[in-house]
Amino acid sequence: MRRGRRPKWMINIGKERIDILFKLADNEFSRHPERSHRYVKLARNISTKYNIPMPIKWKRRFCKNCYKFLKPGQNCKVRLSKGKVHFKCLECGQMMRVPYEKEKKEKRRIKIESYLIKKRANE
Amino acid sequence: MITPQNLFQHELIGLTVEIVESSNMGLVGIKGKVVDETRNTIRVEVDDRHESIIPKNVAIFHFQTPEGQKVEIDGKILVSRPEDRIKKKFRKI
Repeated sequence: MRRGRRPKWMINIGKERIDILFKLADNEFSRHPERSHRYVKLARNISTKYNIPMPIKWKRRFCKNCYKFLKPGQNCKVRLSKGKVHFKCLECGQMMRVPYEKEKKEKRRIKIESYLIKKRANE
Repeated sequence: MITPQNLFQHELIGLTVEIVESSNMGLVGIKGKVVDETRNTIRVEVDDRHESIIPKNVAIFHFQTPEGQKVEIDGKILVSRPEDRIKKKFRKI
C-alpha cells in the first residue's frame, strides 16, 4: 500500500458515507441549518482522510471559504455572466466562479453539424 | 449499502436506534433518529423538541438498517472518531 492510498473497500464505504451525509444535509436545511453545516464538516473529514475527491454533484453545494452548506435561493445566489456560473455565499460573501465554456462549445458544434447535414441533403 | 456486516464502519447518522441495555438505567428505552456523532457520544432526536446525548461505551444499541433489519451492537466497538471507524476490522460481538 502506497503512502496515502487506501484499499478499495474503504474508499467505497467512504463514497457512500459522503453521499448519505450530503443528502441528509439537503433535507434538514429548512428546519435545522446548523445540522447541515455539521454534516458538511463530517463529509469533508472523510474526503480528506481517505483521498476521495468530492463528487461533482456535491462540489458546488458548500462554500470553500467558510465550509457551510449552500442552498440556492436560501443562503446562496446563482447567476450567469461572462461565460461563468457565479455562486455567491450569503453567509460570508465569498464568490465562486465555474466556467461553462465546454458546454457552450458543445452547443455550437451540434448547431454547425445539423446545418451541414441539412446542406448535404439539399444537394 | 448498509448491511449488518459493515454497519459498524458505516454512517450512523440517519438511522433509527433503540437502547436496550445500559449501566445507567435512565437511558434504557430511548428510541429515535441519530442526528449527530462524536468520538464518545451519539445524539438522538427523541421527538420534535427533545434531543438526548448518549455515551457510547456504557450502552448496547439496536440499530435499524434502511432495509428494515435490526442489528445489535455493543457500544464499546463504536468508540472512535466517525471518520476513523472505516478503518476498524471486524470483531465478533
